[in-house]
Amino acid sequence: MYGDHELPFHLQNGDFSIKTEGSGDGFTYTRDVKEDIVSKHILTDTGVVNISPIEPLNLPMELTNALLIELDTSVIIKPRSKRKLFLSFPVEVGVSLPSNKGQKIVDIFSLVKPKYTLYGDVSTGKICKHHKSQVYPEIPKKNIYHEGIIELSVKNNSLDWVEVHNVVFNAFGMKIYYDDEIVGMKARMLIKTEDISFTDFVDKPLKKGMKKGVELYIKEKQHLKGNRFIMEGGL
Amino acid sequence: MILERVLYGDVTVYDLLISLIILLAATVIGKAIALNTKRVFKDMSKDRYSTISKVIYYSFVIAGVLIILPRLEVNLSGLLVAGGLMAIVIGFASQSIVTNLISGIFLSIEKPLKVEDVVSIGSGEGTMGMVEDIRIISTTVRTFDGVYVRIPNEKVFTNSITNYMENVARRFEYVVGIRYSDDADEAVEIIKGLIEDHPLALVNPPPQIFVQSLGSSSVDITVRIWSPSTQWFRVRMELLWKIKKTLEENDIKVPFNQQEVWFLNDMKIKNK
Repeated sequence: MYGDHELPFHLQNGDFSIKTEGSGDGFTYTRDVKEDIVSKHILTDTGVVNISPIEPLNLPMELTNALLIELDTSVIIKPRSKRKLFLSFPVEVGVSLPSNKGQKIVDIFSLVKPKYTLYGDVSTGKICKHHKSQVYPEIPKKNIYHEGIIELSVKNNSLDWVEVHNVVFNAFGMKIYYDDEIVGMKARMLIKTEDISFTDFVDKPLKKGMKKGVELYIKEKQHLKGNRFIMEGGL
Repeated sequence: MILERVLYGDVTVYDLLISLIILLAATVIGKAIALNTKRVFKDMSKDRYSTISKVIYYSFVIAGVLIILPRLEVNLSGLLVAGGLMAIVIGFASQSIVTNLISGIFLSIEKPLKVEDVVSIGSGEGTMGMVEDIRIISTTVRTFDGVYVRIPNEKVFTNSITNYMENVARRFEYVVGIRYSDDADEAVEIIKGLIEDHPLALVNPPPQIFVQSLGSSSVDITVRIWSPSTQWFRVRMELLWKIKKTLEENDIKVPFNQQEVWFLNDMKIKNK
Protein backbone atom coordinates (compact mmCIF):
# COMPACT_ATOMS: atom_id res chain seq x y z
CA MET A 1 0.00 0.00 0.00
CA TYR A 2 2.98 2.31 0.53
CA GLY A 3 4.20 3.97 -2.66
CA ASP A 4 2.73 6.05 -5.49
CA HIS A 5 -0.96 5.82 -6.39
CA GLU A 6 -2.51 7.31 -9.52
CA LEU A 7 -5.63 9.39 -8.84
CA PRO A 8 -8.34 8.24 -8.28
CA PHE A 9 -7.73 5.24 -6.04
CA HIS A 10 -9.24 3.39 -3.11
CA LEU A 11 -7.21 1.58 -0.48
CA GLN A 12 -8.74 -0.52 2.24
CA ASN A 13 -6.86 -1.98 5.15
CA GLY A 14 -8.16 -3.56 8.34
CA ASP A 15 -7.22 -0.45 10.30
CA PHE A 16 -7.84 2.37 7.83
CA SER A 17 -9.20 3.30 4.42
CA ILE A 18 -8.09 5.95 1.95
CA LYS A 19 -10.36 6.96 -0.88
CA THR A 20 -9.94 9.55 -3.61
CA GLU A 21 -13.04 10.11 -5.72
CA GLY A 22 -13.85 12.46 -8.60
CA SER A 23 -12.60 13.43 -12.00
CA GLY A 24 -12.28 16.50 -14.22
CA ASP A 25 -11.93 19.45 -11.87
CA GLY A 26 -10.60 17.62 -8.89
CA PHE A 27 -10.72 14.80 -6.41
CA THR A 28 -12.00 14.36 -2.91
CA TYR A 29 -9.57 12.72 -0.54
CA THR A 30 -11.16 10.89 2.37
CA ARG A 31 -9.26 9.01 5.03
CA ASP A 32 -10.87 6.99 7.81
CA VAL A 33 -8.87 5.70 10.77
CA LYS A 34 -11.04 4.22 13.51
CA GLU A 35 -13.81 6.69 12.68
CA ASP A 36 -11.40 9.62 12.69
CA ILE A 37 -12.25 10.95 9.25
CA VAL A 38 -10.32 13.58 7.31
CA SER A 39 -11.64 14.94 4.03
CA LYS A 40 -9.92 17.30 1.58
CA HIS A 41 -10.36 18.50 -2.01
CA ILE A 42 -7.40 18.10 -4.33
CA LEU A 43 -7.84 20.41 -7.31
CA THR A 44 -6.02 18.71 -10.14
CA ASP A 45 -6.96 16.84 -13.35
CA THR A 46 -4.53 13.99 -12.88
CA GLY A 47 -1.74 13.21 -10.53
CA VAL A 48 -0.04 10.84 -8.19
CA VAL A 49 -0.41 10.59 -4.44
CA ASN A 50 2.40 9.12 -2.41
CA ILE A 51 1.78 7.15 0.76
CA SER A 52 4.89 6.66 2.83
CA PRO A 53 6.10 6.17 6.38
CA ILE A 54 7.44 9.46 7.72
CA GLU A 55 9.34 10.58 10.80
CA PRO A 56 7.09 9.66 13.76
CA LEU A 57 7.11 13.14 15.27
CA ASN A 58 4.16 14.93 13.72
CA LEU A 59 1.18 13.66 15.72
CA PRO A 60 -0.74 14.82 17.63
CA MET A 61 1.30 17.97 16.96
CA GLU A 62 4.83 19.01 16.04
CA LEU A 63 6.06 19.45 19.57
CA THR A 64 9.58 18.11 19.35
CA ASN A 65 12.19 16.79 16.96
CA ALA A 66 13.37 14.04 19.33
CA LEU A 67 12.22 10.44 19.62
CA LEU A 68 12.98 8.57 22.83
CA ILE A 69 12.83 4.80 22.70
CA GLU A 70 12.59 3.25 26.13
CA LEU A 71 13.94 -0.29 26.22
CA ASP A 72 11.60 -2.62 28.11
CA THR A 73 14.66 -4.51 29.34
CA SER A 74 17.87 -2.55 29.68
CA VAL A 75 20.99 -3.60 27.76
CA ILE A 76 24.42 -3.88 29.39
CA ILE A 77 27.32 -3.51 26.99
CA LYS A 78 30.90 -4.67 27.43
CA PRO A 79 33.66 -2.01 27.41
CA ARG A 80 35.27 -1.32 24.02
CA SER A 81 32.76 -3.43 22.12
CA LYS A 82 30.24 -3.12 19.34
CA ARG A 83 26.87 -4.85 19.17
CA LYS A 84 23.87 -4.76 16.90
CA LEU A 85 20.32 -4.87 18.17
CA PHE A 86 16.84 -4.20 16.80
CA LEU A 87 14.22 -1.91 18.29
CA SER A 88 10.76 -0.92 17.20
CA PHE A 89 9.50 2.61 16.55
CA PRO A 90 5.99 3.97 16.00
CA VAL A 91 4.99 4.54 12.39
CA GLU A 92 3.31 7.67 11.12
CA VAL A 93 1.90 7.52 7.62
CA GLY A 94 2.23 10.55 5.37
CA VAL A 95 0.00 11.10 2.36
CA SER A 96 1.60 13.62 0.03
CA LEU A 97 1.55 15.14 -3.41
CA PRO A 98 4.95 15.27 -5.11
CA SER A 99 5.98 18.83 -5.99
CA ASN A 100 9.03 20.61 -7.35
CA LYS A 101 10.07 21.64 -3.87
CA GLY A 102 9.66 18.15 -2.42
CA GLN A 103 6.29 17.09 -1.08
CA LYS A 104 3.02 18.76 -0.21
CA ILE A 105 1.61 16.85 2.74
CA VAL A 106 -2.10 16.12 2.38
CA ASP A 107 -2.58 14.11 5.53
CA ILE A 108 -0.69 12.39 8.32
CA PHE A 109 -2.14 9.62 10.45
CA SER A 110 -0.96 6.96 12.84
CA LEU A 111 -2.40 3.79 14.25
CA VAL A 112 -0.21 4.02 17.34
CA LYS A 113 -1.21 6.05 20.39
CA PRO A 114 1.22 8.96 20.74
CA LYS A 115 2.87 9.72 24.04
CA TYR A 116 5.49 12.22 25.17
CA THR A 117 8.15 12.17 27.83
CA LEU A 118 10.93 14.31 29.22
CA TYR A 119 14.55 13.37 28.67
CA GLY A 120 16.87 14.95 31.19
CA ASP A 121 15.78 17.34 33.90
CA VAL A 122 13.01 19.90 33.86
CA SER A 123 15.20 22.94 33.26
CA THR A 124 17.71 21.62 30.72
CA GLY A 125 15.99 18.50 29.37
CA LYS A 126 14.10 17.92 26.16
CA ILE A 127 10.53 16.89 25.46
CA CYS A 128 10.59 13.74 23.32
CA LYS A 129 8.07 11.54 21.58
CA HIS A 130 7.99 8.34 23.63
CA HIS A 131 7.93 4.75 22.48
CA LYS A 132 8.53 1.61 24.49
CA SER A 133 10.27 -1.18 22.64
CA GLN A 134 11.45 -4.68 23.22
CA VAL A 135 15.05 -5.42 22.34
CA TYR A 136 15.22 -7.93 19.47
CA PRO A 137 18.31 -9.90 18.43
CA GLU A 138 17.08 -10.03 14.83
CA ILE A 139 14.51 -8.25 12.65
CA PRO A 140 11.10 -9.01 14.19
CA LYS A 141 7.91 -9.25 12.16
CA LYS A 142 5.74 -6.18 12.63
CA ASN A 143 2.63 -4.65 11.09
CA ILE A 144 4.19 -2.08 8.74
CA TYR A 145 1.43 0.43 9.47
CA HIS A 146 1.97 0.22 13.23
CA GLU A 147 5.66 -0.22 13.93
CA GLY A 148 8.96 0.03 12.13
CA ILE A 149 12.33 -1.47 12.98
CA ILE A 150 15.53 0.34 13.89
CA GLU A 151 18.74 -1.58 13.40
CA LEU A 152 20.91 0.00 16.07
CA SER A 153 24.67 -0.44 16.10
CA VAL A 154 25.83 0.30 19.61
CA LYS A 155 29.50 1.00 20.13
CA ASN A 156 30.76 1.31 23.68
CA ASN A 157 33.89 3.40 23.49
CA SER A 158 34.21 3.73 27.25
CA LEU A 159 36.41 1.64 29.49
CA ASP A 160 33.53 0.46 31.62
CA TRP A 161 30.38 -1.63 31.30
CA VAL A 162 27.47 0.59 30.33
CA GLU A 163 23.76 -0.02 30.88
CA VAL A 164 21.40 1.49 28.32
CA HIS A 165 17.77 2.15 29.26
CA ASN A 166 16.82 4.73 26.63
CA VAL A 167 17.92 5.78 23.18
CA VAL A 168 17.11 9.27 21.91
CA PHE A 169 17.16 10.20 18.23
CA ASN A 170 16.97 13.47 16.34
CA ALA A 171 14.33 13.55 13.63
CA PHE A 172 16.63 15.66 11.46
CA GLY A 173 18.45 12.85 9.77
CA MET A 174 15.98 9.97 10.03
CA LYS A 175 16.18 7.84 6.90
CA ILE A 176 13.14 5.58 6.74
CA TYR A 177 12.96 2.84 4.11
CA TYR A 178 10.07 0.52 3.38
CA ASP A 179 8.92 -2.46 1.38
CA ASP A 180 5.91 -4.76 1.66
CA GLU A 181 7.22 -6.41 4.82
CA ILE A 182 9.29 -3.92 6.77
CA VAL A 183 9.48 -0.24 7.59
CA GLY A 184 12.94 0.39 8.91
CA MET A 185 15.98 2.52 9.39
CA LYS A 186 19.58 2.10 10.46
CA ALA A 187 21.00 4.03 13.36
CA ARG A 188 24.17 4.24 15.40
CA MET A 189 24.83 4.87 19.04
CA LEU A 190 28.30 5.82 20.14
CA ILE A 191 28.74 5.58 23.90
CA LYS A 192 31.43 7.90 25.17
CA THR A 193 30.92 7.54 28.91
CA GLU A 194 28.40 6.03 31.28
CA ASP A 195 26.22 9.15 30.86
CA ILE A 196 27.02 10.51 27.41
CA SER A 197 26.43 9.08 23.98
CA PHE A 198 25.73 10.25 20.42
CA THR A 199 23.06 8.86 18.15
CA ASP A 200 22.55 9.36 14.44
CA PHE A 201 21.20 7.60 11.37
CA VAL A 202 22.77 5.81 8.45
CA ASP A 203 21.26 6.46 5.04
CA LYS A 204 21.01 2.78 4.06
CA PRO A 205 18.07 0.37 3.92
CA LEU A 206 17.77 -2.64 6.22
CA LYS A 207 17.46 -4.91 3.18
CA LYS A 208 18.18 -4.58 -0.51
CA GLY A 209 15.36 -3.27 -2.67
CA MET A 210 13.65 -1.16 0.00
CA LYS A 211 12.33 2.24 -1.09
CA LYS A 212 13.13 5.47 0.71
CA GLY A 213 10.27 7.15 2.54
CA VAL A 214 9.35 10.81 2.38
CA GLU A 215 11.51 13.06 4.58
CA LEU A 216 9.67 15.92 6.22
CA TYR A 217 12.55 17.06 8.41
CA ILE A 218 14.46 18.28 5.40
CA LYS A 219 18.14 18.87 4.77
CA GLU A 220 18.00 22.66 4.80
CA LYS A 221 17.09 22.48 8.45
CA GLN A 222 19.82 19.95 9.21
CA HIS A 223 22.48 22.57 8.68
CA LEU A 224 20.94 24.63 11.41
CA LYS A 225 20.08 21.89 13.88
CA GLY A 226 22.52 19.07 13.10
CA ASN A 227 21.32 15.54 12.58
CA ARG A 228 22.65 13.74 15.59
CA PHE A 229 21.45 13.73 19.15
CA ILE A 230 23.78 14.12 22.09
CA MET A 231 22.46 12.13 25.02
CA GLU A 232 23.84 14.02 28.00
CA GLY A 233 21.04 13.23 30.42
CA GLY A 234 21.99 9.60 30.96
CA LEU A 235 21.45 6.39 29.04
CA MET B 1 57.12 68.43 0.98
CA ILE B 2 53.39 68.27 0.36
CA LEU B 3 52.72 66.67 3.76
CA GLU B 4 54.19 69.67 5.53
CA ARG B 5 52.16 72.16 3.56
CA VAL B 6 50.09 74.34 5.92
CA LEU B 7 46.37 74.37 5.22
CA TYR B 8 45.26 76.80 7.93
CA GLY B 9 46.71 77.86 11.30
CA ASP B 10 49.15 75.08 12.24
CA VAL B 11 47.17 72.34 10.50
CA THR B 12 49.17 70.63 7.78
CA VAL B 13 48.22 68.11 5.11
CA TYR B 14 49.83 65.49 7.37
CA ASP B 15 47.42 66.40 10.22
CA LEU B 16 44.49 66.15 7.86
CA LEU B 17 45.67 62.80 6.57
CA ILE B 18 46.19 61.39 10.08
CA SER B 19 42.74 62.70 11.08
CA LEU B 20 41.15 60.98 8.11
CA ILE B 21 42.97 57.74 8.96
CA ILE B 22 41.77 57.94 12.61
CA LEU B 23 38.20 58.60 11.47
CA LEU B 24 38.38 55.74 8.98
CA ALA B 25 39.84 53.39 11.60
CA ALA B 26 37.12 54.37 14.12
CA THR B 27 34.46 53.73 11.45
CA VAL B 28 35.94 50.38 10.45
CA ILE B 29 36.40 49.20 14.06
CA GLY B 30 32.89 50.40 14.94
CA LYS B 31 31.44 48.55 11.96
CA ALA B 32 33.37 45.38 12.77
CA ILE B 33 32.23 45.37 16.40
CA ALA B 34 28.66 46.17 15.34
CA LEU B 35 28.70 43.19 12.96
CA ASN B 36 30.02 40.94 15.71
CA THR B 37 27.25 42.18 17.98
CA LYS B 38 24.80 40.63 15.53
CA ARG B 39 26.52 37.30 16.02
CA VAL B 40 26.54 37.62 19.82
CA PHE B 41 22.86 38.59 19.90
CA LYS B 42 21.79 36.16 17.16
CA ASP B 43 18.90 34.85 19.26
CA MET B 44 17.51 38.37 19.61
CA SER B 45 14.94 39.82 17.24
CA LYS B 46 16.38 41.77 14.29
CA ASP B 47 15.15 45.19 15.41
CA ARG B 48 16.77 44.78 18.82
CA TYR B 49 20.22 43.77 17.74
CA SER B 50 20.24 46.32 14.93
CA THR B 51 19.57 49.07 17.50
CA ILE B 52 22.40 47.85 19.70
CA SER B 53 24.79 47.59 16.76
CA LYS B 54 23.83 51.11 15.61
CA VAL B 55 24.54 52.52 19.08
CA ILE B 56 27.97 50.84 19.09
CA TYR B 57 28.79 51.98 15.55
CA TYR B 58 27.88 55.62 16.10
CA SER B 59 29.67 55.68 19.47
CA PHE B 60 32.90 54.79 17.66
CA VAL B 61 32.30 57.37 14.95
CA ILE B 62 31.63 60.11 17.53
CA ALA B 63 34.72 59.06 19.51
CA GLY B 64 36.75 59.28 16.29
CA VAL B 65 35.45 62.78 15.56
CA LEU B 66 36.25 63.93 19.13
CA ILE B 67 39.79 62.60 18.79
CA ILE B 68 40.52 64.37 15.49
CA LEU B 69 38.94 67.75 16.30
CA PRO B 70 41.88 69.06 18.45
CA ARG B 71 44.31 67.89 15.73
CA LEU B 72 42.35 70.00 13.26
CA GLU B 73 42.49 72.92 15.72
CA VAL B 74 38.79 73.01 16.26
CA ASN B 75 38.35 74.59 19.69
CA LEU B 76 36.18 72.31 21.76
CA SER B 77 36.06 74.55 24.86
CA GLY B 78 33.24 76.69 23.45
CA LEU B 79 31.45 73.62 22.26
CA LEU B 80 32.04 71.95 25.60
CA VAL B 81 30.44 74.79 27.59
CA ALA B 82 27.40 74.84 25.34
CA GLY B 83 27.49 71.05 25.05
CA GLY B 84 27.81 70.71 28.84
CA LEU B 85 24.69 72.77 29.41
CA MET B 86 22.88 70.87 26.71
CA ALA B 87 24.06 67.61 28.20
CA ILE B 88 22.62 68.56 31.61
CA VAL B 89 19.29 69.49 30.05
CA ILE B 90 19.21 66.39 27.84
CA GLY B 91 20.49 64.24 30.69
CA PHE B 92 17.58 65.23 32.94
CA ALA B 93 15.10 64.87 30.09
CA SER B 94 16.37 61.51 28.95
CA GLN B 95 17.12 59.97 32.33
CA SER B 96 14.30 57.47 32.12
CA ILE B 97 15.10 56.68 28.48
CA VAL B 98 18.71 55.88 29.37
CA THR B 99 17.59 53.78 32.35
CA ASN B 100 15.23 51.87 30.11
CA LEU B 101 17.90 51.51 27.45
CA ILE B 102 20.42 50.10 29.91
CA SER B 103 17.77 47.82 31.41
CA GLY B 104 16.98 46.65 27.87
CA ILE B 105 20.63 45.82 27.28
CA PHE B 106 20.81 43.89 30.56
CA LEU B 107 17.57 42.07 29.72
CA SER B 108 19.14 41.09 26.42
CA ILE B 109 22.16 39.69 28.20
CA GLU B 110 20.37 37.98 31.09
CA LYS B 111 17.45 36.77 28.94
CA PRO B 112 14.90 36.09 31.69
CA LEU B 113 12.21 36.08 28.99
CA LYS B 114 11.90 35.48 25.27
CA VAL B 115 9.34 36.36 22.63
CA GLU B 116 6.31 34.01 22.93
CA ASP B 117 7.08 33.12 26.56
CA VAL B 118 4.15 33.22 28.95
CA VAL B 119 5.21 35.42 31.83
CA SER B 120 4.00 37.34 34.81
CA ILE B 121 5.82 40.61 35.42
CA GLY B 122 5.56 42.27 38.81
CA SER B 123 4.29 40.93 42.10
CA GLY B 124 0.68 40.87 43.19
CA GLU B 125 -1.58 41.85 40.33
CA GLY B 126 1.28 42.04 37.87
CA THR B 127 0.96 41.77 34.12
CA MET B 128 0.45 38.22 32.91
CA GLY B 129 0.48 37.24 29.26
CA MET B 130 2.56 36.30 26.27
CA VAL B 131 5.65 38.34 25.41
CA GLU B 132 5.11 39.85 21.97
CA ASP B 133 8.33 41.78 21.60
CA ILE B 134 11.36 42.85 23.62
CA ARG B 135 12.57 46.18 22.30
CA ILE B 136 15.48 48.27 23.42
CA ILE B 137 13.32 50.63 25.52
CA SER B 138 10.24 48.59 26.31
CA THR B 139 8.74 45.11 26.35
CA THR B 140 5.29 44.41 24.99
CA VAL B 141 3.03 41.75 26.44
CA ARG B 142 -0.33 40.53 25.14
CA THR B 143 -2.49 39.55 28.09
CA PHE B 144 -4.73 36.50 27.83
CA ASP B 145 -7.75 38.72 27.23
CA GLY B 146 -6.00 40.22 24.22
CA VAL B 147 -4.88 43.52 25.70
CA TYR B 148 -1.63 45.09 24.49
CA VAL B 149 0.57 46.15 27.40
CA ARG B 150 3.80 48.09 26.95
CA ILE B 151 6.11 47.90 29.93
CA PRO B 152 9.25 50.06 30.17
CA ASN B 153 12.31 47.85 30.39
CA GLU B 154 13.33 49.38 33.71
CA LYS B 155 10.09 48.06 35.25
CA VAL B 156 10.64 44.65 33.68
CA PHE B 157 14.23 44.49 34.89
CA THR B 158 13.62 45.64 38.46
CA ASN B 159 10.40 43.68 39.01
CA SER B 160 10.09 39.96 39.66
CA ILE B 161 9.50 37.93 36.51
CA THR B 162 7.77 34.56 36.56
CA ASN B 163 8.45 32.77 33.30
CA TYR B 164 6.09 29.83 32.81
CA MET B 165 7.89 28.64 29.69
CA GLU B 166 11.51 28.76 30.78
CA ASN B 167 11.49 25.10 31.75
CA VAL B 168 10.38 22.59 29.14
CA ALA B 169 7.92 20.80 31.42
CA ARG B 170 5.50 21.94 34.07
CA ARG B 171 3.48 20.17 36.74
CA PHE B 172 -0.09 20.79 37.72
CA GLU B 173 -2.25 19.33 40.43
CA TYR B 174 -5.88 18.44 41.13
CA VAL B 175 -7.52 17.38 44.32
CA VAL B 176 -10.37 14.99 43.51
CA GLY B 177 -12.75 14.28 46.37
CA ILE B 178 -14.74 11.03 46.35
CA ARG B 179 -17.37 9.64 48.74
CA TYR B 180 -16.28 7.56 51.71
CA SER B 181 -18.37 4.71 50.33
CA ASP B 182 -16.42 4.69 47.04
CA ASP B 183 -13.38 2.53 46.41
CA ALA B 184 -10.36 4.85 46.42
CA ASP B 185 -8.11 2.20 44.85
CA GLU B 186 -10.48 1.90 41.91
CA ALA B 187 -10.62 5.68 41.55
CA VAL B 188 -6.81 5.86 41.54
CA GLU B 189 -6.64 3.16 38.84
CA ILE B 190 -9.22 4.97 36.68
CA ILE B 191 -7.35 8.27 36.96
CA LYS B 192 -4.04 6.52 36.21
CA GLY B 193 -5.56 5.00 33.05
CA LEU B 194 -6.85 8.39 31.87
CA ILE B 195 -3.43 9.99 32.36
CA GLU B 196 -1.74 7.15 30.45
CA ASP B 197 -4.21 7.65 27.60
CA HIS B 198 -3.51 11.36 27.27
CA PRO B 199 -0.58 11.87 24.86
CA LEU B 200 0.58 15.11 26.45
CA ALA B 201 0.67 13.86 30.04
CA LEU B 202 4.34 12.99 30.25
CA VAL B 203 5.59 9.46 30.93
CA ASN B 204 8.57 10.90 32.75
CA PRO B 205 8.50 12.59 35.29
CA PRO B 206 5.80 10.09 36.23
CA PRO B 207 2.39 11.26 37.44
CA GLN B 208 1.53 10.88 41.11
CA ILE B 209 -1.92 9.80 42.25
CA PHE B 210 -2.51 9.15 45.93
CA VAL B 211 -4.96 9.62 48.78
CA GLN B 212 -3.81 12.88 50.32
CA SER B 213 -6.28 13.32 53.14
CA LEU B 214 -9.49 12.13 54.71
CA GLY B 215 -11.59 15.25 54.48
CA SER B 216 -14.75 16.16 56.39
CA SER B 217 -16.96 15.16 53.46
CA SER B 218 -14.69 13.29 51.07
CA VAL B 219 -11.64 11.14 50.59
CA ASP B 220 -9.26 13.53 48.82
CA ILE B 221 -7.12 12.11 46.03
CA THR B 222 -4.23 14.27 44.86
CA VAL B 223 -3.30 14.00 41.18
CA ARG B 224 -0.01 15.48 39.99
CA ILE B 225 0.77 15.50 36.27
CA TRP B 226 3.70 16.81 34.25
CA SER B 227 3.16 18.11 30.73
CA PRO B 228 5.12 20.17 28.19
CA SER B 229 5.08 23.82 29.33
CA THR B 230 3.57 24.92 26.02
CA GLN B 231 0.62 22.53 26.43
CA TRP B 232 0.13 22.74 30.16
CA PHE B 233 -3.18 24.60 30.20
CA ARG B 234 -4.75 22.42 27.51
CA VAL B 235 -3.86 19.18 29.31
CA ARG B 236 -5.07 20.57 32.61
CA MET B 237 -8.45 21.52 31.15
CA GLU B 238 -8.96 18.29 29.20
CA LEU B 239 -7.99 15.87 31.94
CA LEU B 240 -9.98 17.42 34.77
CA TRP B 241 -13.28 17.05 32.95
CA LYS B 242 -12.39 13.55 31.71
CA ILE B 243 -11.57 12.46 35.27
CA LYS B 244 -14.86 13.81 36.56
CA LYS B 245 -16.92 12.17 33.81
CA THR B 246 -15.13 8.81 33.93
CA LEU B 247 -15.37 8.55 37.71
CA GLU B 248 -19.09 9.23 37.54
CA GLU B 249 -19.52 6.63 34.79
CA ASN B 250 -18.00 4.15 37.22
CA ASP B 251 -20.36 5.26 39.98
CA ILE B 252 -17.63 7.09 41.88
CA LYS B 253 -19.05 10.48 42.75
CA VAL B 254 -17.77 13.79 43.99
CA PRO B 255 -19.78 14.33 47.21
CA PHE B 256 -21.44 17.50 48.40
CA ASN B 257 -20.31 18.93 51.69
CA GLN B 258 -21.95 16.96 54.48
CA GLN B 259 -22.62 17.77 58.08
CA GLU B 260 -24.13 15.58 60.77
CA VAL B 261 -26.34 17.52 63.21
CA TRP B 262 -27.24 16.07 66.61
CA PHE B 263 -30.20 17.43 68.55
CA LEU B 264 -30.45 17.33 72.31
CA ASN B 265 -34.12 16.39 72.17
CA ASP B 266 -35.85 13.85 69.96
CA MET B 267 -37.14 15.41 66.78
CA LYS B 268 -40.84 14.99 66.27
CA ILE B 269 -42.00 15.22 62.72
CA LYS B 270 -45.63 16.05 62.32
CA ASN B 271 -47.43 15.12 59.17
CA LYS B 272 -50.35 17.37 58.48
